[in-house]
Amino acid sequence: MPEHPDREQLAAFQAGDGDRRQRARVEAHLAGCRSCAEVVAAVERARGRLTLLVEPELPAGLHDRLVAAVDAEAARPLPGRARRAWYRRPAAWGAAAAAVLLVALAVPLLQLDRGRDLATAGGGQAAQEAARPTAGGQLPVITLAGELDAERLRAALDANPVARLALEHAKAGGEPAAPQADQGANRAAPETAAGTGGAGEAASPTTAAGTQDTTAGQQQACLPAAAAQAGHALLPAVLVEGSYQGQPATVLVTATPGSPSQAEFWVFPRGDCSGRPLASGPLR
Amino acid sequence: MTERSDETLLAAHLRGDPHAFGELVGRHERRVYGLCLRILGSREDAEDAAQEAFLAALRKAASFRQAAAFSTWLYRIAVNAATDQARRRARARLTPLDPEDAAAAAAPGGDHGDAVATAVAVQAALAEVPQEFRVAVVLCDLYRVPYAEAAQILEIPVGTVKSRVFRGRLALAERLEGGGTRASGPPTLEVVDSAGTEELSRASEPKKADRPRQE
Repeated sequence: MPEHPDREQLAAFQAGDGDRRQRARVEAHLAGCRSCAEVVAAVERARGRLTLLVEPELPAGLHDRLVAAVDAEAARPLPGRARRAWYRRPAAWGAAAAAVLLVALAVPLLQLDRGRDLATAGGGQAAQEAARPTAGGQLPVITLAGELDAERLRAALDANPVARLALEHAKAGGEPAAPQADQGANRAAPETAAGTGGAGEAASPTTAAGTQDTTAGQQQACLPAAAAQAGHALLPAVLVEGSYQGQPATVLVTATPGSPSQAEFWVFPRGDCSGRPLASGPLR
Repeated sequence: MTERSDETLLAAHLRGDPHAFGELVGRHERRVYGLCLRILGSREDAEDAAQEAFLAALRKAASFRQAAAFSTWLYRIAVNAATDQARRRARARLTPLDPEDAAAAAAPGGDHGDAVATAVAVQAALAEVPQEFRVAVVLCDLYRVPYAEAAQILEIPVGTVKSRVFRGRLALAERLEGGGTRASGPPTLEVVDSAGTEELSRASEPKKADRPRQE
């Protein structure tokens, strides 16, 4: 009788490993060695017995206990790192943007003519002229047709020199840009609200007094609401008008004092800053 | 909308989705609990270990890498939680199986009372298998985790997994079939070198006759 295979070899054999020659050698050994054959058989029987142990049911109440424990842990502030509330994390905005996108997809045709205005929101001479920082008062306003999302917001701010300057100014810790002698000229982009101005006027600023008043009023009220949500002081930079989840909305874009790289946005129902922002997020 | 994958849910959790992790708990709790129960042999310890596992997963969520499946990652955490729990409670191996759990442990069909009794015996014997081997047996034989995945979970080579499963089964067989010889003498079936072969042959002969329902 040749040497007994060791346990590693038997384990490999039972797991179906090894080339044909190796397997044949173990098989030949098992055929002639009762003790090794009994070991392999016992192991096989043990495997059979194990099938009696089916997957246990979850004990009653354990699910609730686990969820409660996980929730409590998630609510616990991590040492050294302030956890941001869910609505201030980029993901929340991402989810909101996804919902917004769905709505936008449902009514794309209705928005087509307004879409052209978006392309012109990036500036033009009127906007350049409006980029005069002065003390106190009005913020530049950009109007975006259709649904707002983070991507469009960023693109519009990048493309609009007034907005860009105002944001840079706020990030640098300055006072908000700039009341104008003529309030209408303060608008960084053409007003596209229904009933004010047709397509022909898209490239020139309009006064749109009614909307202007609303927006001016909002900027006063929304800043504290946003700051309360943020938990620290904010410097207002730009207002953006558009719609969010099908409802007219105003977005306040802010910088954070002392954090020159940080800019955030806060979405409110138009004309109503009494509650929490509908959405918010960082502007990268 | 199609069901989100585990990995997608974890990513959603990390981005701030307040419900994503709870959904992961719901998906995996039974398996995590079951793994812990079979490793620990005690329902109370298994519940504690399952809770520890999910809390650890929550804390480590940001370190999850897509190189492995979420389930592999989670089961590794669960196995670690169970072994930690076993360390804390050295009594785990001595804890009698909860009768309620024993009933649940029995496979459906057949003579119910007999199946319960046998399942209880198997669980009790499993609890006596050295932990290292027991974990491998629980993963590969009870939960049908492929050897390669078990190797990832345990962070050991595949060959080592196979070896541990084999030794675990062997130890289980010895405890189920060894009868009264276990207390007095060395384990018989575990000895396969030439010195032990004689004893093995002698020990296994009479016992066969004593076991009417072997298979």
